[in-house]
This record gives sequence, structure tokens and C-alpha cells, in this order.
Amino acid sequence: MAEIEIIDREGMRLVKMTLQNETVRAESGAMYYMRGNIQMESAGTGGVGGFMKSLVTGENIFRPIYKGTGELYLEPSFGGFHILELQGEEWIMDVGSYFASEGTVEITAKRNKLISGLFGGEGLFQTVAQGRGKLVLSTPGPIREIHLKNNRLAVDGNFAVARTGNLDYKVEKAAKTLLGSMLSAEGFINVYEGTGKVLIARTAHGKALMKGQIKDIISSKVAAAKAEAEREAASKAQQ
Amino acid sequence: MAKFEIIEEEGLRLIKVLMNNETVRAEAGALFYFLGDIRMESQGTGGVGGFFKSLATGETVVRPSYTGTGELYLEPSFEGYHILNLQGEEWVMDTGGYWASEGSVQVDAKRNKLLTGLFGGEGLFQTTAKGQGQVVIKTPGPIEEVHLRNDRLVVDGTFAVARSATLNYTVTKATKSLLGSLTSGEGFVNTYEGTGTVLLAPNAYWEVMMLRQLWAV
Repeated sequence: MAEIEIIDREGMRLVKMTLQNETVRAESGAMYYMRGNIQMESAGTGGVGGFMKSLVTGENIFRPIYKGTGELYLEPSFGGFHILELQGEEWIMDVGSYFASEGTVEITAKRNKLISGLFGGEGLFQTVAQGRGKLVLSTPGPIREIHLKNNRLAVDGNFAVARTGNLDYKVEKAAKTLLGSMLSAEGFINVYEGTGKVLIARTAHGKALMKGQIKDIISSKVAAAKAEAEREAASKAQQ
Repeated sequence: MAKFEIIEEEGLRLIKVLMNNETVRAEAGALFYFLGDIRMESQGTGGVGGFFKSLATGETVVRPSYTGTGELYLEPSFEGYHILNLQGEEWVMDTGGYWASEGSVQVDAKRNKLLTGLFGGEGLFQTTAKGQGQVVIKTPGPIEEVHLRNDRLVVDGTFAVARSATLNYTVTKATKSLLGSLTSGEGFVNTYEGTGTVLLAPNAYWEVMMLRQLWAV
């Protein structure tokens, strides 16, 4: 079994995988550096029609495979990573959450119900992982596991990172009536029902959050300055 | 009684509410997630003309209520929260100060005097809370309770988060003459007089402060 480690350095996190004549898969573009005798192969995500499914998920088409013996480091991020140990169960990931997995884990795509896909923020297709072995998720912040036992979880937003395949997922209006949903400013919510697990990242990592806020401020100031410059240019042109 | 808890995570704060066949009201758009058998209903903030009052306060029109049993979580923020336990008294909140309350608390709107509303920075209408139960107030920084007993508190700025309704709130010139007020660099100040409590947030949390500074650049 490949050894997978999350290294936390300077407020950034990166994934280190130690291979012992093994195979791992990673999101395309995720390779950072590697040492030892590791060969990279480009391949579809497996399963019949995997290539076409990848196309429609809007996710990266090819998730390369790394085979051999050595150390493989994946791109660092201000966000975080979460390692799941699959024991045969099925996990469904939010768009952009898949990061890496052991070769024994099968990666495919699943189609959501039309209304769920359009309004739920999770997209029409989602990546599915099944089998035995480790699965690495990319997540904006610390992960909280919510265990449902014949229970119901409603989430307003798309901070649910992954869920087990046995849960019933649908998108509902927040209030009973459509008007009520709109007036309450809540609109549609993602509902998970039944028995299983949902992983949520209810806050981003502190540094990622601050970076996001600063980016918002800068882009809004840049947009205001651009609009101002355009107005000035237009008034000059009129004169 | 619903149990309110303030959770701090990654420099953010969020409110968790434990509900046992109860009703809780929250600011519109404040819903984050909930677990269990909880139903959301959207309705006005109560009182005759509540809907129109909400319009006039410039605050959100409808504040949804959540009824049932389970855990309710509200949106996290760099700002913080302060929980008040009402024993029948009435509180007046600054615009944007209301965040959540128990179903037993009546949430309404109050009209300020014209001059006060225009110059005091608190707006013409303010949200009020009355009754028995907990009210969660959103605040830019840690709260300092100022208890007045036949006393007077003068605040230059908008960092008074809430006040007891028993207090007389006015906006006055900082010095006696208008010219003096202008030259002292203070202009108009918020004055609270009488007996009651004012909640002040004199220092913002550093994240809030830093983001404000960046906005001001």
C-alpha cells in the first residue's frame, strides 16, 4: 500500500506519496516533483466510457497514473487535503474535490438528477470512487465528518466535499413555497438523507480565507478604477 | 430553551443552535446547514405591518424561522457574536446587528427621531427585540457592556451595537455651538442617557480591522 502523507509548511499543504512498486493516480496537473524510478502514464479515468464521462463531468480529461518505486510530491495549496481509507464503499465527490488515489480505487463518473445538477451547485456529473485503498480529496478547509443514521442534512452552499453513495442526495426549495424560498434569501438547499457520511468543509483554512478576501477587495478596486478610466476617456472623446 | 453556542474555527466564528422541538428565527441568508428534522418557514418579523417596517429599516425583508429538532448552523463570519438573555426587557439593535433569536422573542422595528436617524449613523429605523429568551447579536469586535444608572454615555462613531430601550438616545452636536462642533473635529455624537445598558464594540477583531483598512486604501 502506498504511503500517503500531508505535509504542512508555511501555511501551505502538500501531499507526499511513497511508492513501493505500486500505482497511484492523481489529478492532471497535480505533479510537483518526484524522485526514484517512477513512470508516468496518461490514461482515462477507467471504466467503460471513462473518457466520454470525463468530458461531460467538466473535470480534467486525463488523470495520469504513476507507477514504480520512489517519492511523488503533488502541488502545494493554501487549501487542504483529506485522506479517506475506502473499505469497499462508494464515495461521490464534489466537482474539483478529487486529488489522488491508490491504483486499487476505481474512479468513474455519476450523473445527478437534472434538477439537482442544475440548482445544487454540484454539477450534472460527479466523480465517484469505489473499492479498497486510499483516496485523497482536495478541500478548501478542515474536514468535518457528519454521520447520518436515518437522518437528514441540509446544506445551503457547496461546501459539502464528498458523500457516501448510499445517501439519497437531492436539491430542495428551502421553504415550502417557491415564494417563501426566494423571500427568505435561502433559495435552494442540498439535502442528504438516509444512512451514511457527508464530508463538509465549513470554513476554509485561515490563510486561504484571508487571501480570498484580499483578492476580492483588489479586484473590486481594479474594476472601479477601470470603470472610472473608461468614463474619463468617454467624456474626453465627446469633447 | 434552544441552546446557542459560538464556535471559533480558523479565525472565523459561527453560531450553532441545538433545538428540541423549538422555533428559532435568523437573519435572512444566515442559514449554513442543519441536521435533523427541521423545517424552514419564511414569514415577516411579526407585529402589524412587520413587512413594511422591514422595508423601511433597510434591513432584510423576511426573517425565516426554523422549527423542529436537531442542530442548526449559521453562516460563519470574521465578525463575532454576542448572546443576550432577555428577561422581558426591550433592546434596540444597530442596523445589521440582529443575527438570530428564540421563537419566544418578538422582533420588530422602531423609528428613530428624524435628526437622530439622519446624523447618528444608526439609520431611521432600528430592529428591536422584546420578550423572554436569547438573542444573538452580530458584532465587529468583542463586546463591552456599559451599565448606565442615571448617567450619560457619548459615542463618536457607530460602534454601539445595541442598547436597552429604556435609554434615551439622541444625536447631539459635540460642543454647544455648531461652529465649535465642526472645528473640534467631532461634529455629531451619539448620546445615551438614563438607566440601562449599552453594548459597545470599541475594538474590531483584527481580521475585520485589516479588511476595513484594505477597503479604505
